[in-house]
Amino acid sequence: MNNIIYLDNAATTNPKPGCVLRAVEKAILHCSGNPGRGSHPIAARASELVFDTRETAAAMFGASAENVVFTPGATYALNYAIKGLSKAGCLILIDNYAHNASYRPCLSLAKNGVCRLKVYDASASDEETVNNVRRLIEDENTVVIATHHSNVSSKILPVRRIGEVCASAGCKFIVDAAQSAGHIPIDLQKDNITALCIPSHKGLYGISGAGLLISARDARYRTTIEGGAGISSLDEDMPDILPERLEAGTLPLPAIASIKAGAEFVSSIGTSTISGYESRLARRFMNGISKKDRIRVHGDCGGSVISFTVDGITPAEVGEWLADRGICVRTGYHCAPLAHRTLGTYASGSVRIGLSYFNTSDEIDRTVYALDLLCRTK
Amino acid sequence: MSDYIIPMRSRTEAELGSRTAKSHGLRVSVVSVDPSLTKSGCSYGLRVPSKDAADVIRMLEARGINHGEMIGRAR
Repeated sequence: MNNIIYLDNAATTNPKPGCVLRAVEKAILHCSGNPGRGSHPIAARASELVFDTRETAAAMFGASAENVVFTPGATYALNYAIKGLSKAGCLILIDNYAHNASYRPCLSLAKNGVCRLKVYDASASDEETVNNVRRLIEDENTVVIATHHSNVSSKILPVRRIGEVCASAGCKFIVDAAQSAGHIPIDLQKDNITALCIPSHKGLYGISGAGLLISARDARYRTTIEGGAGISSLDEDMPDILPERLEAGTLPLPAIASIKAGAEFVSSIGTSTISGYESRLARRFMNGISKKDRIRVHGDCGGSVISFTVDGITPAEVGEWLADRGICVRTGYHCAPLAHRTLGTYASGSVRIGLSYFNTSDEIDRTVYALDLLCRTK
Repeated sequence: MSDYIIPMRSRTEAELGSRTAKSHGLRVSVVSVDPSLTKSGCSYGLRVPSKDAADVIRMLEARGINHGEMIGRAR
Protein backbone atom coordinates (compact mmCIF):
# COMPACT_ATOMS: atom_id res chain seq x y z
CA MET A 1 0.00 0.00 0.00
CA ASN A 2 2.97 2.34 0.42
CA ASN A 3 3.10 3.13 -3.27
CA ILE A 4 -0.58 3.91 -3.50
CA ILE A 5 -1.59 7.53 -3.81
CA TYR A 6 -5.20 7.79 -2.80
CA LEU A 7 -6.97 10.80 -4.30
CA ASP A 8 -10.53 9.49 -4.22
CA ASN A 9 -11.38 10.99 -0.86
CA ALA A 10 -14.53 12.66 -2.17
CA ALA A 11 -15.93 9.14 -2.49
CA THR A 12 -14.51 7.73 0.75
CA THR A 13 -11.65 9.06 2.80
CA ASN A 14 -8.68 6.73 3.09
CA PRO A 15 -6.75 6.15 5.26
CA LYS A 16 -8.72 6.55 8.45
CA PRO A 17 -7.13 8.05 11.55
CA GLY A 18 -5.82 5.52 14.07
CA CYS A 19 -8.37 6.69 16.63
CA VAL A 20 -11.17 5.61 14.27
CA LEU A 21 -9.72 2.14 13.82
CA ARG A 22 -9.35 1.76 17.58
CA ALA A 23 -12.88 3.00 18.23
CA VAL A 24 -14.35 0.49 15.77
CA GLU A 25 -12.38 -2.36 17.33
CA LYS A 26 -13.43 -1.30 20.82
CA ALA A 27 -17.07 -1.09 19.78
CA ILE A 28 -16.97 -4.61 18.36
CA LEU A 29 -15.07 -6.04 21.31
CA HIS A 30 -16.87 -4.36 24.17
CA CYS A 31 -20.18 -2.93 23.00
CA SER A 32 -21.60 -5.49 20.61
CA GLY A 33 -25.05 -5.48 22.12
CA ASN A 34 -28.07 -3.99 20.44
CA PRO A 35 -28.37 -0.31 21.31
CA GLY A 36 -31.83 0.70 22.47
CA ARG A 37 -32.93 -2.91 22.82
CA GLY A 38 -32.86 -3.94 26.46
CA SER A 39 -30.94 -2.69 29.45
CA HIS A 40 -28.49 -5.48 30.20
CA PRO A 41 -24.88 -4.32 30.51
CA ILE A 42 -23.79 -4.92 26.93
CA ALA A 43 -26.90 -3.33 25.40
CA ALA A 44 -26.49 -0.46 27.86
CA ARG A 45 -22.87 0.09 26.78
CA ALA A 46 -23.99 0.11 23.16
CA SER A 47 -26.76 2.61 23.94
CA GLU A 48 -24.34 4.84 25.80
CA LEU A 49 -21.92 4.82 22.89
CA VAL A 50 -24.76 5.73 20.53
CA PHE A 51 -25.83 8.60 22.76
CA ASP A 52 -22.22 9.78 23.16
CA THR A 53 -22.00 9.96 19.38
CA ARG A 54 -25.27 11.88 19.16
CA GLU A 55 -23.82 14.41 21.61
CA THR A 56 -20.55 14.69 19.69
CA ALA A 57 -22.37 15.27 16.39
CA ALA A 58 -24.82 17.68 18.00
CA ALA A 59 -21.98 19.75 19.43
CA MET A 60 -20.15 19.79 16.10
CA PHE A 61 -23.16 20.90 14.07
CA GLY A 62 -25.07 23.12 16.49
CA ALA A 63 -27.96 20.79 17.26
CA SER A 64 -29.49 18.82 20.12
CA ALA A 65 -28.48 15.21 20.72
CA GLU A 66 -32.04 13.93 20.47
CA ASN A 67 -32.33 15.42 16.98
CA VAL A 68 -29.37 13.45 15.67
CA VAL A 69 -30.67 10.47 13.69
CA PHE A 70 -28.39 7.69 12.48
CA THR A 71 -29.07 6.47 8.97
CA PRO A 72 -27.34 3.93 6.73
CA GLY A 73 -25.61 6.83 4.94
CA ALA A 74 -26.08 10.31 3.56
CA THR A 75 -28.20 9.03 0.66
CA TYR A 76 -30.68 7.56 3.13
CA ALA A 77 -30.59 10.73 5.19
CA LEU A 78 -31.45 12.76 2.10
CA ASN A 79 -34.24 10.37 1.17
CA TYR A 80 -35.68 10.53 4.69
CA ALA A 81 -35.49 14.31 4.66
CA ILE A 82 -36.81 14.94 1.15
CA LYS A 83 -39.62 12.38 1.29
CA GLY A 84 -40.39 12.96 4.94
CA LEU A 85 -40.63 16.75 4.86
CA SER A 86 -42.21 17.43 1.47
CA LYS A 87 -45.96 17.94 1.56
CA ALA A 88 -48.16 16.75 -1.29
CA GLY A 89 -48.29 19.33 -4.04
CA CYS A 90 -45.35 21.32 -2.73
CA LEU A 91 -42.57 22.80 -4.80
CA ILE A 92 -39.05 21.47 -4.30
CA LEU A 93 -36.12 23.62 -5.35
CA ILE A 94 -32.79 21.95 -5.96
CA ASP A 95 -29.50 23.42 -7.12
CA ASN A 96 -27.73 22.68 -10.38
CA TYR A 97 -24.85 20.86 -8.66
CA ALA A 98 -27.01 18.26 -6.93
CA HIS A 99 -25.83 14.69 -6.55
CA ASN A 100 -28.24 11.90 -7.46
CA ALA A 101 -28.60 11.23 -3.73
CA SER A 102 -30.79 14.32 -3.55
CA TYR A 103 -31.82 14.71 -7.19
CA ARG A 104 -33.31 11.25 -7.69
CA PRO A 105 -35.57 11.32 -4.62
CA CYS A 106 -36.88 14.66 -5.91
CA LEU A 107 -37.37 13.27 -9.41
CA SER A 108 -39.19 10.29 -7.94
CA LEU A 109 -41.60 12.55 -6.05
CA ALA A 110 -42.11 14.71 -9.13
CA LYS A 111 -42.63 11.78 -11.51
CA ASN A 112 -45.19 10.29 -9.13
CA GLY A 113 -47.08 13.57 -9.03
CA VAL A 114 -46.40 14.13 -5.33
CA CYS A 115 -44.41 17.33 -5.71
CA ARG A 116 -43.18 19.73 -8.34
CA LEU A 117 -39.48 20.21 -8.95
CA LYS A 118 -37.47 23.18 -10.18
CA VAL A 119 -33.72 23.49 -10.49
CA TYR A 120 -32.14 26.78 -9.43
CA ASP A 121 -28.77 28.03 -10.63
CA ALA A 122 -25.92 28.23 -8.18
CA SER A 123 -24.20 31.07 -9.98
CA ALA A 124 -20.69 32.41 -9.77
CA SER A 125 -22.11 35.17 -7.60
CA ASP A 126 -23.53 34.18 -4.21
CA GLU A 127 -25.86 37.15 -4.40
CA GLU A 128 -27.30 35.85 -7.64
CA THR A 129 -27.65 32.33 -6.21
CA VAL A 130 -29.57 33.63 -3.23
CA ASN A 131 -31.79 35.72 -5.49
CA ASN A 132 -32.43 32.70 -7.69
CA VAL A 133 -33.73 30.82 -4.65
CA ARG A 134 -35.73 33.78 -3.37
CA ARG A 135 -37.39 34.28 -6.73
CA LEU A 136 -38.58 30.69 -6.95
CA ILE A 137 -39.93 30.16 -3.42
CA GLU A 138 -43.74 30.01 -3.60
CA ASP A 139 -44.83 29.74 0.02
CA GLU A 140 -44.02 28.06 3.35
CA ASN A 141 -44.54 24.62 1.80
CA THR A 142 -41.64 25.07 -0.59
CA VAL A 143 -38.69 22.82 0.22
CA VAL A 144 -35.25 24.15 -0.68
CA ILE A 145 -32.31 21.79 -1.10
CA ALA A 146 -28.70 22.94 -1.29
CA THR A 147 -25.61 20.95 -2.15
CA HIS A 148 -23.28 22.67 0.28
CA HIS A 149 -20.11 21.59 -1.55
CA SER A 150 -20.27 20.01 -4.99
CA ASN A 151 -18.81 16.54 -5.40
CA VAL A 152 -17.62 17.41 -8.90
CA SER A 153 -15.86 20.72 -8.31
CA SER A 154 -15.07 22.86 -5.29
CA LYS A 155 -18.22 24.92 -5.80
CA ILE A 156 -19.61 25.95 -2.42
CA LEU A 157 -23.15 27.23 -2.06
CA PRO A 158 -23.89 30.15 0.31
CA VAL A 159 -25.80 27.97 2.74
CA ARG A 160 -26.12 30.57 5.48
CA ARG A 161 -27.62 33.12 3.12
CA ILE A 162 -29.97 30.60 1.52
CA GLY A 163 -30.98 29.54 5.04
CA GLU A 164 -31.87 33.14 5.86
CA VAL A 165 -34.11 33.31 2.80
CA CYS A 166 -35.79 30.03 3.75
CA ALA A 167 -36.28 31.13 7.34
CA SER A 168 -37.89 34.41 6.33
CA ALA A 169 -40.22 32.55 3.94
CA GLY A 170 -40.96 29.91 6.59
CA CYS A 171 -39.98 27.07 4.30
CA LYS A 172 -37.89 23.98 4.92
CA PHE A 173 -34.22 23.87 4.09
CA ILE A 174 -32.38 20.60 3.46
CA VAL A 175 -28.60 20.64 3.14
CA ASP A 176 -26.56 17.92 1.50
CA ALA A 177 -23.31 18.16 3.45
CA ALA A 178 -21.76 15.02 2.01
CA GLN A 179 -18.69 16.92 0.84
CA SER A 180 -18.71 19.81 3.27
CA ALA A 181 -19.00 18.16 6.69
CA GLY A 182 -15.55 18.11 8.21
CA HIS A 183 -14.31 20.69 5.72
CA ILE A 184 -16.58 23.70 6.28
CA PRO A 185 -18.10 24.76 9.61
CA ILE A 186 -21.86 24.11 9.69
CA ASP A 187 -24.24 25.27 12.38
CA LEU A 188 -27.79 24.00 12.10
CA GLN A 189 -29.27 26.90 14.03
CA LYS A 190 -27.22 29.75 12.62
CA ASP A 191 -27.64 28.40 9.10
CA ASN A 192 -31.41 27.91 9.59
CA ILE A 193 -31.18 24.33 8.37
CA THR A 194 -34.18 22.06 8.81
CA ALA A 195 -32.36 18.85 7.90
CA LEU A 196 -28.63 18.32 7.54
CA CYS A 197 -27.44 15.15 5.80
CA ILE A 198 -23.93 13.82 6.40
CA PRO A 199 -22.09 10.59 5.65
CA SER A 200 -19.76 8.89 8.09
CA HIS A 201 -17.12 7.87 5.62
CA LYS A 202 -16.05 11.10 3.95
CA GLY A 203 -14.97 14.26 5.76
CA LEU A 204 -15.73 12.85 9.20
CA TYR A 205 -13.23 10.03 8.53
CA GLY A 206 -15.57 7.34 9.82
CA ILE A 207 -16.18 4.00 8.17
CA SER A 208 -18.92 3.37 5.64
CA GLY A 209 -22.35 2.13 6.69
CA ALA A 210 -23.70 5.09 8.60
CA GLY A 211 -24.80 8.64 8.12
CA LEU A 212 -26.40 11.44 10.05
CA LEU A 213 -29.67 13.25 9.61
CA ILE A 214 -29.54 16.18 11.99
CA SER A 215 -32.74 18.12 12.37
CA ALA A 216 -34.09 21.37 13.68
CA ARG A 217 -36.27 21.04 16.78
CA ASP A 218 -39.47 21.69 14.87
CA ALA A 219 -38.84 19.23 12.01
CA ARG A 220 -41.71 16.74 11.65
CA TYR A 221 -41.12 13.79 9.37
CA ARG A 222 -43.30 11.28 7.65
CA THR A 223 -41.48 7.98 7.88
CA THR A 224 -39.85 6.37 4.89
CA ILE A 225 -38.86 3.12 6.61
CA GLU A 226 -40.84 1.44 9.36
CA GLY A 227 -39.86 -1.31 11.75
CA GLY A 228 -38.74 -2.00 15.29
CA ALA A 229 -37.67 1.05 17.21
CA GLY A 230 -37.04 -0.46 20.63
CA ILE A 231 -39.90 1.52 22.17
CA SER A 232 -43.69 1.62 21.86
CA SER A 233 -43.67 -1.90 20.44
CA LEU A 234 -47.42 -2.34 20.68
CA ASP A 235 -48.23 0.77 18.65
CA GLU A 236 -48.97 0.31 14.97
CA ASP A 237 -47.08 3.44 14.03
CA MET A 238 -43.48 4.45 14.50
CA PRO A 239 -42.84 6.56 17.63
CA ASP A 240 -43.59 10.22 17.00
CA ILE A 241 -40.35 11.48 18.54
CA LEU A 242 -36.86 11.76 17.16
CA PRO A 243 -34.53 10.03 16.81
CA GLU A 244 -36.46 6.77 17.21
CA ARG A 245 -39.09 7.75 14.65
CA LEU A 246 -36.53 7.50 11.87
CA GLU A 247 -34.35 4.72 13.26
CA ALA A 248 -36.17 1.51 12.39
CA GLY A 249 -34.03 -1.59 12.84
CA THR A 250 -30.67 -2.21 14.44
CA LEU A 251 -28.17 0.62 14.32
CA PRO A 252 -24.69 0.04 12.81
CA LEU A 253 -22.73 0.36 16.04
CA PRO A 254 -19.15 0.08 14.71
CA ALA A 255 -19.86 2.76 12.11
CA ILE A 256 -21.47 4.95 14.75
CA ALA A 257 -18.40 4.54 16.95
CA SER A 258 -16.30 5.59 13.99
CA ILE A 259 -18.36 8.76 13.55
CA LYS A 260 -17.62 9.78 17.13
CA ALA A 261 -13.91 9.12 16.83
CA GLY A 262 -13.73 10.73 13.39
CA ALA A 263 -15.65 13.81 14.45
CA GLU A 264 -13.39 14.20 17.46
CA PHE A 265 -10.36 13.84 15.19
CA VAL A 266 -11.70 16.56 12.90
CA SER A 267 -12.57 18.82 15.83
CA SER A 268 -9.13 18.37 17.36
CA ILE A 269 -7.51 19.64 14.16
CA GLY A 270 -10.22 22.11 13.17
CA THR A 271 -12.20 22.26 9.97
CA SER A 272 -10.48 25.48 8.90
CA THR A 273 -7.04 23.90 9.35
CA ILE A 274 -8.14 20.87 7.35
CA SER A 275 -9.67 22.89 4.53
CA GLY A 276 -6.70 25.27 4.52
CA TYR A 277 -4.30 22.37 4.12
CA GLU A 278 -6.39 20.83 1.35
CA SER A 279 -6.57 24.18 -0.43
CA ARG A 280 -2.77 24.41 -0.38
CA LEU A 281 -2.57 20.96 -1.94
CA ALA A 282 -5.15 22.00 -4.53
CA ARG A 283 -3.12 25.09 -5.42
CA ARG A 284 -0.01 22.97 -5.73
CA PHE A 285 -1.83 20.68 -8.14
CA MET A 286 -3.19 23.60 -10.14
CA ASN A 287 0.26 25.17 -10.36
CA GLY A 288 1.69 21.84 -11.43
CA ILE A 289 -0.70 21.37 -14.32
CA SER A 290 -0.95 25.05 -15.30
CA LYS A 291 1.47 24.73 -18.22
CA LYS A 292 -0.09 21.57 -19.59
CA ASP A 293 -2.30 22.86 -22.36
CA ARG A 294 -4.19 19.61 -22.80
CA ILE A 295 -5.47 19.55 -19.23
CA ARG A 296 -8.67 21.50 -18.65
CA VAL A 297 -10.00 22.10 -15.17
CA HIS A 298 -13.77 22.42 -14.84
CA GLY A 299 -15.45 24.65 -12.31
CA ASP A 300 -14.11 25.83 -8.97
CA CYS A 301 -10.86 24.23 -7.94
CA GLY A 302 -9.73 25.90 -4.74
CA GLY A 303 -10.95 23.26 -2.32
CA SER A 304 -10.85 19.55 -1.78
CA VAL A 305 -12.42 18.55 -5.13
CA ILE A 306 -10.91 19.19 -8.57
CA SER A 307 -12.36 17.95 -11.85
CA PHE A 308 -10.42 17.95 -15.06
CA THR A 309 -10.25 16.40 -18.49
CA VAL A 310 -7.33 15.79 -20.83
CA ASP A 311 -7.86 16.72 -24.47
CA GLY A 312 -7.87 13.70 -26.73
CA ILE A 313 -7.97 11.16 -23.90
CA THR A 314 -11.14 9.94 -22.22
CA PRO A 315 -11.48 10.30 -18.45
CA ALA A 316 -11.59 6.51 -18.19
CA GLU A 317 -8.24 6.25 -19.99
CA VAL A 318 -6.74 8.91 -17.75
CA GLY A 319 -8.00 7.05 -14.69
CA GLU A 320 -6.56 3.80 -15.97
CA TRP A 321 -3.20 5.43 -16.69
CA LEU A 322 -3.06 6.81 -13.19
CA ALA A 323 -4.30 3.57 -11.61
CA ASP A 324 -1.49 1.70 -13.41
CA ARG A 325 0.87 3.98 -11.50
CA GLY A 326 -0.86 3.45 -8.18
CA ILE A 327 -2.79 6.72 -8.24
CA CYS A 328 -6.45 6.39 -7.30
CA VAL A 329 -8.84 8.94 -8.80
CA ARG A 330 -12.48 8.82 -9.78
CA THR A 331 -13.61 9.06 -13.38
CA GLY A 332 -17.02 9.44 -15.01
CA TYR A 333 -20.03 11.40 -13.82
CA HIS A 334 -19.64 11.03 -10.06
CA CYS A 335 -23.43 10.47 -9.82
CA ALA A 336 -23.99 14.15 -10.49
CA PRO A 337 -25.50 14.72 -13.95
CA LEU A 338 -26.74 18.21 -13.10
CA ALA A 339 -23.24 19.29 -12.11
CA HIS A 340 -21.82 18.02 -15.38
CA ARG A 341 -24.49 19.89 -17.33
CA THR A 342 -23.55 23.00 -15.36
CA LEU A 343 -19.83 22.55 -15.96
CA GLY A 344 -20.10 21.58 -19.62
CA THR A 345 -18.74 18.07 -19.13
CA TYR A 346 -22.00 16.21 -19.73
CA ALA A 347 -20.63 14.54 -22.86
CA SER A 348 -17.61 12.96 -21.25
CA GLY A 349 -17.69 13.25 -17.47
CA SER A 350 -14.40 14.10 -15.84
CA VAL A 351 -11.45 12.91 -13.82
CA ARG A 352 -11.91 13.87 -10.20
CA ILE A 353 -9.33 14.38 -7.52
CA GLY A 354 -10.64 14.41 -3.96
CA LEU A 355 -8.17 15.53 -1.30
CA SER A 356 -7.95 14.70 2.37
CA TYR A 357 -5.89 15.80 5.35
CA PHE A 358 -3.71 12.73 4.85
CA ASN A 359 -2.55 13.60 1.34
CA THR A 360 0.91 15.10 0.96
CA SER A 361 2.67 17.55 -1.34
CA ASP A 362 4.82 14.71 -2.61
CA GLU A 363 1.71 12.79 -3.66
CA ILE A 364 0.46 15.83 -5.55
CA ASP A 365 3.84 16.22 -7.30
CA ARG A 366 3.89 12.57 -8.29
CA THR A 367 0.36 12.86 -9.68
CA VAL A 368 1.29 15.94 -11.67
CA TYR A 369 4.34 14.08 -12.97
CA ALA A 370 2.18 11.12 -14.04
CA LEU A 371 -0.20 13.46 -15.86
CA ASP A 372 2.71 15.21 -17.52
CA LEU A 373 3.99 11.85 -18.69
CA LEU A 374 0.52 10.97 -19.98
CA CYS A 375 0.27 14.20 -21.98
CA ARG A 376 3.71 13.64 -23.48
CA THR A 377 3.15 9.95 -24.26
CA LYS A 378 -0.39 9.71 -25.62
CA MET B 1 -35.38 1.82 51.14
CA SER B 2 -37.07 1.96 47.74
CA ASP B 3 -36.38 3.19 44.24
CA TYR B 4 -38.59 5.03 41.85
CA ILE B 5 -38.84 4.54 38.15
CA ILE B 6 -39.39 7.64 36.07
CA PRO B 7 -40.74 6.50 32.70
CA MET B 8 -39.22 8.25 29.70
CA ARG B 9 -40.53 8.51 26.15
CA SER B 10 -37.51 6.81 24.57
CA ARG B 11 -34.14 5.27 25.22
CA THR B 12 -32.56 8.45 23.88
CA GLU B 13 -34.47 10.67 26.27
CA ALA B 14 -33.66 8.25 29.08
CA GLU B 15 -29.95 8.62 28.26
CA LEU B 16 -30.36 12.38 28.13
CA GLY B 17 -32.12 12.37 31.49
CA SER B 18 -29.56 10.06 33.01
CA ARG B 19 -26.68 12.27 31.95
CA THR B 20 -28.43 15.39 33.14
CA ALA B 21 -28.93 13.85 36.58
CA LYS B 22 -25.42 12.41 36.74
CA SER B 23 -23.91 15.77 35.84
CA HIS B 24 -25.45 17.01 39.09
CA GLY B 25 -23.99 14.13 41.06
CA LEU B 26 -27.23 12.14 41.30
CA ARG B 27 -27.19 8.37 41.00
CA VAL B 28 -29.57 7.19 38.30
CA SER B 29 -29.58 4.33 35.85
CA VAL B 30 -31.45 3.63 32.64
CA VAL B 31 -33.70 0.58 32.93
CA SER B 32 -36.38 -1.16 30.91
CA VAL B 33 -39.86 -0.40 32.20
CA ASP B 34 -42.17 -3.36 32.71
CA PRO B 35 -44.41 -3.32 29.60
CA SER B 36 -47.43 -4.05 31.79
CA LEU B 37 -47.02 -0.54 33.19
CA THR B 38 -47.20 1.14 29.83
CA LYS B 39 -49.94 1.26 27.25
CA SER B 40 -47.68 0.86 24.27
CA GLY B 41 -45.16 -1.84 25.06
CA CYS B 42 -41.41 -1.56 25.52
CA SER B 43 -40.12 1.59 27.10
CA TYR B 44 -37.29 2.91 29.22
CA GLY B 45 -37.06 4.85 32.40
CA LEU B 46 -34.70 6.18 35.01
CA ARG B 47 -34.25 4.24 38.23
CA VAL B 48 -33.73 6.75 41.00
CA PRO B 49 -33.26 6.30 44.76
CA SER B 50 -36.39 7.64 46.44
CA LYS B 51 -34.46 10.38 48.23
CA ASP B 52 -33.28 11.83 44.91
CA ALA B 53 -36.48 11.39 42.93
CA ALA B 54 -37.82 14.90 43.43
CA ASP B 55 -34.46 16.45 42.48
CA VAL B 56 -34.24 14.37 39.34
CA ILE B 57 -37.76 15.33 38.30
CA ARG B 58 -36.94 19.00 38.87
CA MET B 59 -33.81 18.66 36.77
CA LEU B 60 -35.62 16.95 33.91
CA GLU B 61 -38.27 19.62 33.87
CA ALA B 62 -35.70 22.40 34.01
CA ARG B 63 -34.05 20.91 30.90
CA GLY B 64 -37.43 20.46 29.19
CA ILE B 65 -37.08 16.67 29.08
CA ASN B 66 -40.43 14.89 28.97
CA HIS B 67 -41.15 12.18 31.52
CA GLY B 68 -44.04 10.10 32.79
CA GLU B 69 -45.53 9.62 36.24
CA MET B 70 -43.13 8.14 38.80
CA ILE B 71 -43.62 4.49 39.64
CA GLY B 72 -42.66 3.20 43.11
CA ARG B 73 -40.56 0.06 43.24
CA ALA B 74 -39.22 -1.91 46.20
CA ARG B 75 -35.49 -2.49 45.93
